[in-house]
Amino acid sequence: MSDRKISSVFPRVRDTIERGFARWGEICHDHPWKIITTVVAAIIFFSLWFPTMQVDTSNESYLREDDPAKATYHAFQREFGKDERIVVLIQSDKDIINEDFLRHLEAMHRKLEAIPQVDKVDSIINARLTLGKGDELIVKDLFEDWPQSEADYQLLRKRISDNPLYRNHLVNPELTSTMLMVTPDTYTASHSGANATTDLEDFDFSAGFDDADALISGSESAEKSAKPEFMKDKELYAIIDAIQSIGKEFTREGFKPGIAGSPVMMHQLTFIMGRDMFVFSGMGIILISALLFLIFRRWVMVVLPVAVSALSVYLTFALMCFFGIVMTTSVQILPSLLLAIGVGNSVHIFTVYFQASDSGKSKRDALSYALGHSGLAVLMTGLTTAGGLISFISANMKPVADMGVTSPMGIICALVFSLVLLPALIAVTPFKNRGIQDDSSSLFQKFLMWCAGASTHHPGKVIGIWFAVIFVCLFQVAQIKTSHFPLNWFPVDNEVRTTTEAIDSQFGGATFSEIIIDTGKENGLHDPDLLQAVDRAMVFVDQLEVHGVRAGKATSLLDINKELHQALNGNDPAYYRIPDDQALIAQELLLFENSGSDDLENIVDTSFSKMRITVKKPFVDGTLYPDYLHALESGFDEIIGDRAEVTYTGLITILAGGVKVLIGDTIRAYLIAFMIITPMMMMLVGSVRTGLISMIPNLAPIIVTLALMSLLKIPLDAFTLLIGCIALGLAVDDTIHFMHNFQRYYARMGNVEKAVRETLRTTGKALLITSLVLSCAFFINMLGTMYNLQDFGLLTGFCIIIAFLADVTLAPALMTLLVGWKESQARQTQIVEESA
Amino acid sequence: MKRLTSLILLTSLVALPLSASAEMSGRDIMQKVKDRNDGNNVVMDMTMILIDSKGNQRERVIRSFRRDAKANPKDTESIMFFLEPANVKDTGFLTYDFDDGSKDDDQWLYLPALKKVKRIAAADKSGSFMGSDFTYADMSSPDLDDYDYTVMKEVDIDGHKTWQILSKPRTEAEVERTGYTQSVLFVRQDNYVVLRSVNWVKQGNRQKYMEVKKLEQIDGIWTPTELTMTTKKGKETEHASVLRMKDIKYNQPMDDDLFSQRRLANGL
Repeated sequence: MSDRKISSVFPRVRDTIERGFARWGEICHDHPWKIITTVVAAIIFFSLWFPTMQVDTSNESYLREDDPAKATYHAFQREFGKDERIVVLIQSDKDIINEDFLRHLEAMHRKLEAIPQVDKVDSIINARLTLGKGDELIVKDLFEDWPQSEADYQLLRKRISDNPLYRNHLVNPELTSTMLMVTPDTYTASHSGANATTDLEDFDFSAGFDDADALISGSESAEKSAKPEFMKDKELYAIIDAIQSIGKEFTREGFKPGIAGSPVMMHQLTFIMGRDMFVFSGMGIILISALLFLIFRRWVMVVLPVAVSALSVYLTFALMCFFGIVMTTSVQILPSLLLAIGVGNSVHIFTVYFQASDSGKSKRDALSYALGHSGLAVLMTGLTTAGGLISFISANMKPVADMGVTSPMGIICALVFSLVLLPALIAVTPFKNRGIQDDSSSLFQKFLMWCAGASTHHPGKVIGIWFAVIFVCLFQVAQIKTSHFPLNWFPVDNEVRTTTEAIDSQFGGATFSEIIIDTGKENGLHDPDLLQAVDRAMVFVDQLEVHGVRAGKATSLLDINKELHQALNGNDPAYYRIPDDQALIAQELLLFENSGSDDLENIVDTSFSKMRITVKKPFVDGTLYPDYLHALESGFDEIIGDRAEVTYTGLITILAGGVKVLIGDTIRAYLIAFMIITPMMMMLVGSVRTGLISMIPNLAPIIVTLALMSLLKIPLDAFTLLIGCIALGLAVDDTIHFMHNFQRYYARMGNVEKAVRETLRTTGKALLITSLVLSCAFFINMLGTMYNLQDFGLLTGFCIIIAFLADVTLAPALMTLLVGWKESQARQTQIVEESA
Repeated sequence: MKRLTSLILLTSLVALPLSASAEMSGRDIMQKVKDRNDGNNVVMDMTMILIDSKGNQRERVIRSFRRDAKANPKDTESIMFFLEPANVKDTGFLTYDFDDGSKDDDQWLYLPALKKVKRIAAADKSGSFMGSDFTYADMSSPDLDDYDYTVMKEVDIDGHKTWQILSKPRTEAEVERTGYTQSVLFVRQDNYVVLRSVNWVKQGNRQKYMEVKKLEQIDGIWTPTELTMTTKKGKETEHASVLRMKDIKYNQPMDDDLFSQRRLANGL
C-alpha cells in the first residue's frame, strides 16, 4: 500500500478509534463503580499471590536457568563447596607479629568460626605449617603452639615472611595487615542443619546410620534426590551482618577490620541501592505531588496520578508473583519507569480534561473529550514502549531478559489504570468547576507558543541547529567508553571500596575464581607428569597480564605436594617441587592424610581424580575480563593438553566473563526495540515517511544524553544501560503525543502553524508539565550515596528535558517542512494534471 | 484404695528398667566398655572403603598388628602395613598410643618410595585415620577421667538393649584433641560393645555417625567386623567410610621386634 493510500485510510481509522475512546469516557462516567469494583477485585485477586513472592538478588540471578555455566557452577559447589568468600582485612600501623595483636586476632578468628552457617575461617591463626625437624615431620596449625619468647616471635616472623603460602596471601609483605577468609556453608540452613535443634531430647538418633549403605548401593534418599537448595542470599547477608558486627566489636587502636569480597559487594550494592531507591523514589513522589499541586492547584491532580502510578507498580509485582516470575535486580528500575509513565499518562488525560471542563463542558462531556483526545495517544505510547521493550526477552543475561517481561507487563498495567481506573475515579471525584480560564498569558503557554512560532516560522534553522547538535553529539558518542566496574559506584570513602582497594593492592584480590582439573581416573592426581604440567600452568597464570588484569595468589593441591616434599627432605628449598615418582606422590599424600590436616578435603575429590585451583583475583573492569579469561583459558589448556579436562568456573569468572555479553545484549535489545517502534510509529501516523521522520525526535534525546555521558566520563555499563529503558519510554511517549495530536489538529484545521500551536497549547502543556515534574523527580537521585545512582538521576532527568525540547521544537519543525514539501508536491502534481 | 494400689504397681513396673540402669552410672558403664576383653594382641586384615557424596568408592587394604604395650599394658602399640593399592604398598605406620590422655602419641611412618622412616608429630587425635572418616580418637579408647558420662535412657537397637549415654569432654583441651564437642553412645547391655555413636564435630557444625554393622564373637571376644562412619552436615551426607575386618586372630605369638622402626622399614 502506498504512503498516499495509507494516509487516506488512516484518518478514518483514527477517527473511529477516537470515537470509541470518547464513548468509553462516557461509559466510565455512567458506570464508574462497576469499573472501580472490577479493578479493585482484580487487584485483590492478584494480591493473594504476594505470599509466593520469590526474590533472588544474588550474583547467580544474572544467569539463566538453562545456562550451562550455571550447571557447571552448581556441580562445582556440590563437589567442593562454596567458592564465594567473605574477606576480612585487618590493618595495623605497625608490625602485627606480636602477642597482643595475634591474641586479639585469634579471638576474632574463633568468633567468626562460631557464626551460624560459617563452614570455615582461614587465617594465619590456623594456616598450615609443614616442616621437617630432623627425622620428624610436623604438620600443624601455625599457632598450635604459641611463641613463648621474643626469639620465638622472631622465628615466627621469619617463617611467615618466607612462606609463599602466607606472604601476599594471608599477610602483606610489610607484615602490617592480615586477611581472614570466611567460607559460608554451601547449602541453606534447613539442609545444612545450621538451625537444627541443639536439644538432644529432640535429636533424631534413628537417622544417619544407614546413609553410608545408601551411598554404597547408590539408592539416594528422597531428601537427597530432591537436590538440596544452596544457601540463600538472606542467609549469606546475615553472615555478612554478623561479621560486620564482630568487626566493630574488635576494632581498636592498631587493629582496624574491614570487609570485602564478592558477596559483600553484592550485599552492599543491594542494601544501599535498595535503600536509596526507596528513599529517593519516596522523595520523588513527594516532589512530583508538590509540583503537580503547584501547577494545577487541585489535590485530585496529586492524588490520582500518584495513585495510578503506585497501583501500577503494586499490580505489576502482584502479577509477577502470580506468574511465578522471580524478582531479580532488574526490577529496581520498575518503580521509576512506571512512575514516569503513570504520571505522564494521567497528566495528559487530566490536562485535556480540565481544559474541557474549565471551558464549561459537563463532567461527562469533558471525560469523553479527554479520552477521545488523548486516549489513543496514551494507548499507542503504552503499546509502543511495551512492544519495544519486549525485545529484551531474547537477551542472554537474565536481568536483561527479565526486563523484557516485567517492563512491558508494568507498562500495560499503567496503561490499563490510566485508561480504565483513572476516568472512573475522575467520574466519582467531586471537583469545583473553575469556569473558563485563559492561561495563554501564563509562562508555560508563552514558552510553548514561542516554540511553536520558532519551529513553524524558521523550521530550517531549528532543524539545522538540532542536526548540528546531533552531529557534534555523535562525535562525542563515538568516544563513549563501555565499562562495568561496580566498585567505582561506591563513594571513595566507602568501607567496601577502600577495603577492596587495599586488598587488591596488598594481597592481589578479594574475589576468587576456580579451575577444575579432572583426570577422569582414580588416583589420576598422583601422575607427576600431570602435576608438573599443572605447576607450569599455574606459573603461566601467575605471570599472565592482559589489559592490566592480573591474578593474585593461586592455591591448590600442588602447595601441599611441594611443601611436604620439601619438609621430608630436610626443608631444603630445592625440594619445593613436584616429585618425579608417582609412588612417592601417592605415599606423601597418604602421609598428609594421616597428618591431622583436613586441608585436602576441599581441594581434591575422594578418589584423587579431580582437583580445584583457587585463583585470587582483584576487582577489575568487567569489560576487560573476557580477553583476560580467553588468554588464560587458551594458555592453560595448551599447557595441560590432553592430560586432563579443564573447567573454568566460579561466580566471578562466569559473571565477569558475561559482562561484555550483558552490554552487547542490552545494546542489541535497544536496536531491536527501535526496529519494533519504527513500524509502530508508521502505523500511528499512518505514513511510512512521517513515521521514519518522527523517529528523529525519538533518537535525538538518546544521542544527546549519550554525548553527555561521554563528556562527563560516565561509562556505558550494565546500570546506565538500564536508564535507556526509561529514556526510550519517555522519548517515544512524548513524540507519540505530539505526532498524534498534531495530525489530529492538522486534519481538522488544514494549517500547519495552527495545528502546531493547538497541539502545543493542549498536549504541549501536558508534555511540559510531565517533563518538568519527572525530571525534578529524577534529578533528586543526584543526592544519592552511590555514584551510579547519581548518574542515573542526572542522565534520566536530562534525557527527559531533551526529549521534551525535541518534541516541542524539532518535531514541529520537521512536520512544518514535511507538510510544506507535501503541499508543494501536491501543487506540482495538480499543475501537471491540469496541464495534461 | 484399690486405685492407689494399681497406681503403685504400675509406677513400680515402669520404674523397674530405670532402677536397673540406675544401678550403674554412665562412668561405670564406660569403665566396663573400656575393660572389655579385647585380647592381649590381635592381627587382622582391614579393608577400608572410602565413599564420597556421589557414591564413588576407593579401597585400601591394610594388615594390622596390635598389642598391649610391654612397658605399660594400658598403652597400646600397633603397626600397620598397606597391602593395596599398589602405589602405597608397603607404606607402614607404627603407633604408640598412651592411655594417659595428657601424653601425645608417638607415630612413625615409612615411605618405601623415599626409603625413610619419619616421625609424625601428632598432638591431637582429631585427624583422619588413613584418610577415612574415622579419626585416631575413634580408633583408641579415651581416658575416662577426661569425660562426664550421663545415662540418657535405654533403647533397643536391632533387638538388643542398649544404654544411651551422653559423653561430654570436661576440658576445651580434650575437645581440641578429639575434635568432638560431645558424643552420644549406644552401649549394648549384654556385652558392653558400643554399637552406635553420634559425634558432634567442633568444626563446621557436622555430625559423625558410627555404627557397628557386624559383630562376631571370635575366640570368645566380641569383635566388630564391619564398622561404618558417616560424616553429615545437616541432611547432607558429605562422605562415609566402611571398615571391614577379616582373618582376625587374637593372642597370637608376636615378636617383640614387630613394633619397631626397623621392622617398619623392613615391611611385612
